[in-house]
Amino acid sequence: MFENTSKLADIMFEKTLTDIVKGIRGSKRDTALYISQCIAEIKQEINSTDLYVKANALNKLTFLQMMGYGMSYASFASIEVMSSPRFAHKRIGYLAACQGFNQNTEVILLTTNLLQKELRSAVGGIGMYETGLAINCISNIVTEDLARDVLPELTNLTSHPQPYLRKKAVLCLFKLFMRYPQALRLTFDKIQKCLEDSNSSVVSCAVNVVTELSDKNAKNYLHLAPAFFQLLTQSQNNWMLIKVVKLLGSLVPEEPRLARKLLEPLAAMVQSTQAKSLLYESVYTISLCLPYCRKADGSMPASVPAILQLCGKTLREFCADKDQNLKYLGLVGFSSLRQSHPKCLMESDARPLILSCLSDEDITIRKRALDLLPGMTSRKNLQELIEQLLTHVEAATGQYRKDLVLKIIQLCSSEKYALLQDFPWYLDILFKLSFFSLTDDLGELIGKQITDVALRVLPVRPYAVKTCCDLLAYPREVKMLPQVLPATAWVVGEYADLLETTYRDLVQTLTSPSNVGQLPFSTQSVYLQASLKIFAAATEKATDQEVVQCVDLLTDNLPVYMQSLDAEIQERAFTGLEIMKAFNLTSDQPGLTTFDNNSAASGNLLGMTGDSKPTKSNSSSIRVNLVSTCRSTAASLNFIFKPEPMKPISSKAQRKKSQSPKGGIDLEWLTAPVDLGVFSRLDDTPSHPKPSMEQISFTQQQQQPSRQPSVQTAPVVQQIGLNDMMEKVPPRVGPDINGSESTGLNQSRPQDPFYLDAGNKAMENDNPTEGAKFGTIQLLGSEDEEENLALRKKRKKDKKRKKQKPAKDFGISNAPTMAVYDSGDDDDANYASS
Amino acid sequence: MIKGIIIVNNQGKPRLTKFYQSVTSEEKQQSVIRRVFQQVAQRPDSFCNYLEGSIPEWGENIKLIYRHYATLYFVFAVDSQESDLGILDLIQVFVEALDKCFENVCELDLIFHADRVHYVLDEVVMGGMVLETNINSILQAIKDQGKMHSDSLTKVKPGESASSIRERLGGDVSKWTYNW
Repeated sequence: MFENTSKLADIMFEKTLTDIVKGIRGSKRDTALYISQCIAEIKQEINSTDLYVKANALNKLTFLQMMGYGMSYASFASIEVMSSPRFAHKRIGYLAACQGFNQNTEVILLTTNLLQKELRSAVGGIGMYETGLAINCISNIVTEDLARDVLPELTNLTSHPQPYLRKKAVLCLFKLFMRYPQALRLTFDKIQKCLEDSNSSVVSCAVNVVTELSDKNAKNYLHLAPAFFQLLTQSQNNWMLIKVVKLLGSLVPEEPRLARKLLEPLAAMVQSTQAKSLLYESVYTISLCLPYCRKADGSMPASVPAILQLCGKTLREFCADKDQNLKYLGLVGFSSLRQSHPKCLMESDARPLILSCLSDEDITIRKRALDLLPGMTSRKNLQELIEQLLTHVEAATGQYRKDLVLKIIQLCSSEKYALLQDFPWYLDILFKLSFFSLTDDLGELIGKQITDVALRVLPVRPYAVKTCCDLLAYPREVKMLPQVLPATAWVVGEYADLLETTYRDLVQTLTSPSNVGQLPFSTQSVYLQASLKIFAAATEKATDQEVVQCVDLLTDNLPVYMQSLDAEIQERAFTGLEIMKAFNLTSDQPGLTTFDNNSAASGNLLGMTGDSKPTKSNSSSIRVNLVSTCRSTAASLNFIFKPEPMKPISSKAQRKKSQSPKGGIDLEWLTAPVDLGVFSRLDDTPSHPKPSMEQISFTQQQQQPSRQPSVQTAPVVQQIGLNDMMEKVPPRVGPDINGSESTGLNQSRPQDPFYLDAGNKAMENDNPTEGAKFGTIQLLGSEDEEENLALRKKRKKDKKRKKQKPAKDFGISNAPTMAVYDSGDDDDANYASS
Repeated sequence: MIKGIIIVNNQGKPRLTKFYQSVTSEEKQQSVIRRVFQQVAQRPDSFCNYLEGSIPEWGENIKLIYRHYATLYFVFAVDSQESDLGILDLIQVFVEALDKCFENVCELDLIFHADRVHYVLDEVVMGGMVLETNINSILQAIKDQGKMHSDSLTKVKPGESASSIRERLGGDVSKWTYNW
């Protein structure tokens, strides 16, 4: 009695889940405080001996876990509550375990016995739900050990009279396979049996499991393809049909002949089914099959065009549908169809649909439509499409903007600009893009495109140069992508001979420290080089005055860059200046012009009244000299800065170029034996007595006379088997040593860069040394020796294989026809027989 | 496979969370919930129900398929093995089941009886795999288990539920005669 009342009292004082929820909703301001109070209570209650109290506490804790409060301390309590005979408590305990346990929870191993018991005692009727609970829990918390332990009981349940338990058991088996893969081989035949179950839910679950499995490794389930074919044609359950279709689609890459067989039933399904989900999956799977449908002679089966038509029509209906989901799926289907038939979108009625999707508000749909664009563009519509996309770029933000820009560039530059006809227009597009704020990698891409176009397309160069000049002249306030500037500078420099405008202004823009000093170092170095190239062009073409001005600008500005922090810039500035000095292109008194102008303007600055005129004429004569020097050096300058116009060479041409050597190369030295006289410097000591044991130094490598095979005393330092190796001096080197004695060294090969005259004499004197040197090298080359042995063995094997090859070839050709239903895995054969 | 199921309300409060591919700590779970909510809440109802995903805890190629009912977002995070339209149907089936169990379900029901919502879900999706799609089978299972649940809480010997005793005794209480 007392027990009961105290229990009653206990219950009355504890909060239920409802109380907690009410409390949380009521305590708007101090929710966290309230919850921590509740948690403190829960911690106490959970250690109570009364299962009711425990279960109640666990229930509350599971709720709080959803809000982010950990419940790891309640793991053991979960197990206690799970073992309660009352169904309600079991439910609470299992739920707490599913929410709170993870792979590292140690108490999971305590559940093993309990779960095994539950699985074993599966009764029919209403008691099956308890077992169902256990199976559910296993599917959520299973670890490798638990999987191993419950596998037998679970497998038995797949043949339980109750379909409820069968379907749960089959599904749970997959979760076991994920943790304990060996289980698959042991139980796969049970899953196969479930595929033929009388209850459609069980079959669905079995199909589900096989679909997931075949996603991981489709080969193993090829032999089930006939069974699935059967299901495909006979079943009515849409959900299962979807899974079967997906499964067959995943098998197709493994067995291409399946693809052709699938086309008919899938097409039939497309025409007959009402369910949009099944319709979509069928169309999608057809698009997966089409790439594999090519027959041996390369042609497509006759049914393909009709099927393609059917798919295209269905997908277009999807895209035209008001339902956004169907639109999305239509676009996904088209991009899959494009994998096998890239031109499927070229028909006129698909295009306006997809373009309208491009302007849809939904970003998911827009992205998918963007992916389809490469299939829809042709030479005629490229320009207007890109211009529309440009307007989108303005409006777009974030990742979508990046995708848009990438797509624009991709469309224009694909297949070496196959679609592009108007290159100046493309350059304009690129320049427009460079005024948007984009990421660095996109900036680089745009820069590369600009240089690429200028490089490849000769007619557009004058236009490119002109526009780049204009661009460079923009004030710094106009925000441009920083990576585009070096590209424009390079174009201007490289094709400076096409310049029409003032060279001086350009050089000014490119070198004046106020302009350029703020730019990143890589840009600065490109600017400097370009300015020199422009100057080279100017020496040829510009007016006298311009030449002089350029010289002055360069002489003034380049020294500034020699103080730059970046080594490359320093180097370029220095090299440029030195070249100019070498050609006498600098004005010797750089201040003269300015000085001159000043004094001319303001009268006698330094009191040199009478000198102004003569100095002026003097300076002008110096100037004239300067100009003539410049003109005469034009050719050399141009050669230095632009030796050969860069042009892209295709990889094929490059290969051909490298294969054919220029005439007259004497390749004998490549195949001649190695002249080891080169290593004369390795020889420290001139005389080489046989080392005794006492002389062996472990810190200093001595020369050993080991050329004669009969030499047996080898230093202890060497490896043990080396004596044998000494005898087996590899033929390619041993005779060569002798050979080099007789032939190589005696031949005079003065043109051989490695041939040392001094070394020759040394060689003749120190033959034993030479061999000894070889001996020392051989130490390191002992691996080579082993390698040679291996090589020789391999050669022998190859010979054997060659002999056997004809027979093997014969065997191989038969294999493919049998390979289909032979999964090739021995283990699979094992379980099939078990 | 279904990686996880999350039900959040319009303010981002989670009403049900089920992680089938486990996310090991509570902080990570909460951040997943937040991220899912942020992405889903941005989309007006006219947009399609698919979000191609960026939930790093669950991996790449995850799609968020969601449905918005009144004040709740039902979000299923799936990988490529699941049929997109099929999952939308499944969400519909799940909500219908909840409707039948709670009688015109609303958010309050989910708040106060979160455990019961879990029990319903366990009949539809088990361990991340779709278990049952037929609404009648689901409802039957839930009804039976609900009965077992309430029976087991009455203080009688387990195995001898109150309803079975009543049946054994003949059903109609008024007909019982007392043998004093």
